[in-house]
Amino acid sequence: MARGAAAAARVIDATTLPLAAVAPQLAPRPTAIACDGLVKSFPIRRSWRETMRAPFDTRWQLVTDHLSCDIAQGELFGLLGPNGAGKSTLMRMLATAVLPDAGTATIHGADVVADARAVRGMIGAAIANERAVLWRISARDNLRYFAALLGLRGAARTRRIEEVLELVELADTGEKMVGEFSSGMRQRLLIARALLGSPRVLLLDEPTRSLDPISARQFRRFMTRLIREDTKCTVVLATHSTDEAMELCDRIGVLDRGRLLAVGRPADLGAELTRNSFRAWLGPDAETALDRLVARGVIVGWSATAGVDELFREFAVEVTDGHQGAAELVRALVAAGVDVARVERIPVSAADIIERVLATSDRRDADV
Amino acid sequence: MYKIAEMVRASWVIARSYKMNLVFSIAALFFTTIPFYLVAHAMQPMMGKVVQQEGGDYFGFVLLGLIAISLLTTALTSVYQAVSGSITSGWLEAQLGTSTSMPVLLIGMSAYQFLWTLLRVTVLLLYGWSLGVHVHWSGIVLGLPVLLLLCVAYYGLGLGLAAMFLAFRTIGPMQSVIVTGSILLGGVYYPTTVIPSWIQSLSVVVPMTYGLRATRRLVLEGAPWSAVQMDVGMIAAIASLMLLLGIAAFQLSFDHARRRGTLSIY
Repeated sequence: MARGAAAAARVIDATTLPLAAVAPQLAPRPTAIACDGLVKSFPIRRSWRETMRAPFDTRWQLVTDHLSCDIAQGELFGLLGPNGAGKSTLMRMLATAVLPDAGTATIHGADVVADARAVRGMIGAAIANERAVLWRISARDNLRYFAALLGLRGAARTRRIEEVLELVELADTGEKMVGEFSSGMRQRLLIARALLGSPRVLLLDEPTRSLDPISARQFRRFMTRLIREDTKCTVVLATHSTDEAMELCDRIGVLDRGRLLAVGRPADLGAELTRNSFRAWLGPDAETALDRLVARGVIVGWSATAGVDELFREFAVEVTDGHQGAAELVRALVAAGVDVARVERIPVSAADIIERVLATSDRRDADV
Repeated sequence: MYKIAEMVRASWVIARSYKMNLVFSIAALFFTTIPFYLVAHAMQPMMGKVVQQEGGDYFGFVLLGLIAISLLTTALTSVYQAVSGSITSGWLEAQLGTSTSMPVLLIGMSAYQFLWTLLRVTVLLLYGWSLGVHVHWSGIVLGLPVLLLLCVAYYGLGLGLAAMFLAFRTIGPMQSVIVTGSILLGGVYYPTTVIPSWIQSLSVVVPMTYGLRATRRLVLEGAPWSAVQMDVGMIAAIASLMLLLGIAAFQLSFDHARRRGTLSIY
């Protein structure tokens, strides 16, 4: 209980991070997924020497540390975090494949431990790797197999299989043996399989990891259509892709070492993070002018980046007051006789958000 | 039942895709039986009296032994192979994500192998009959439930092996120990009465002993059900016990794997 309170305090602490939109209130919608103080540890693999020395001594690694969060119905919730942060373990606990050591998680009120079967009836999960399909049979037969396990039969089964194949754009290759599929096609088949039972909650673990950029963009469009228009199901999406997080997710949560460090709307998190970071395309002699602006306190600092064309060069400039500061920068540069071709806010990446949240969390831990 | 039928269908489509393997599997039935036929005929004068109480025809005696071994091997290994194969690819975890119960999944994943073995032993029996084995067809109807009990007993052991695999990722020499032990002590190539007395006592705990003896008497001798009641009672008791122990072991091991998060880690 004490540890649970501490973890809850940590998540609440995240609202005081210097990120304006951290942990906004949920829209007044019913809760689809509720996690309360989820704890999971896995044993650490030991060397032969360690095993021989103490055969019954087990050391544990904490993978989720009193993790609590609520996800609303119809929400698309993104999970960001470095490798080993606990994203996949959280997904597997929600999918009932891994039992939590402590804490509870419910999906539409059904407990993932006590009512595992009811939970399985509500979720569609694409959390396995792409090898988790039957390679020697067609995509259509793979889906037919799973449709049977989901209790679909007859015409309803056939119709649903065709629908999901259409959705993931595999209808034309439905009869092809899955072993002959590309990596991306198998990934799409996994998504089709997850959608087969018309789930109320969809769990997707890095769904675009094997997709080429065009397929990934098609997937995002498909997800938008699926979530916003067709099924309106709740989605938990673990991803490393900025595009996915920014374009798709209603909220994102940043996980690290099993702790949920921050939750917020991606646009807000991104805007806050890069509030004062701008990219400027400037004419000759800009360096001298920028140095003067630093000395005058108009800007915090600058650095030259790789972008160069015949007349202009790209600079990264840190201003003091968001768009106001950028306007001040432009005025000062023009007054100094520097040609200004373009000034824009630097787009944020998932890595930036994760890095920033982790750094802030580390600083706070150090202070404590 | 519908789910199991669909799982069998998928397994058949997969097996059919390995064309040469399918052809060899059927052809092997005929070729591997011929040496047994020749050896059994050569040994008939000596073994005829020894197997007098189980039909008297040594080739028929051995043929039913081979059939029982095929069935027990499938019962023993099918569930373990299904679990080990599907863990490696993450397929088991994916199937567990559906609301289908674990017993249905396990039966479904191993059902095709059972049906295929059933087909193979039927062909084997017909082949033996065409080579002169005297088969009491009414005895086959009575013998089927006995063989089914034998399968249940070894399926229980198979669940134990699957449990061992889930927990330790290996079954060590257990499969060989069980199959070899059943062959040596269960009377596959010779009746258990010829086993030296100091190890004969071990054969009383081997389900094969009872199952095979009863089946031979029913199928080769045409004995009535009352003549094998004792053996059937024993095999039923052993099968029940082994199945219960197997289920308990698998459940324990499965829960352990879910706690350790190793259902999809090879």
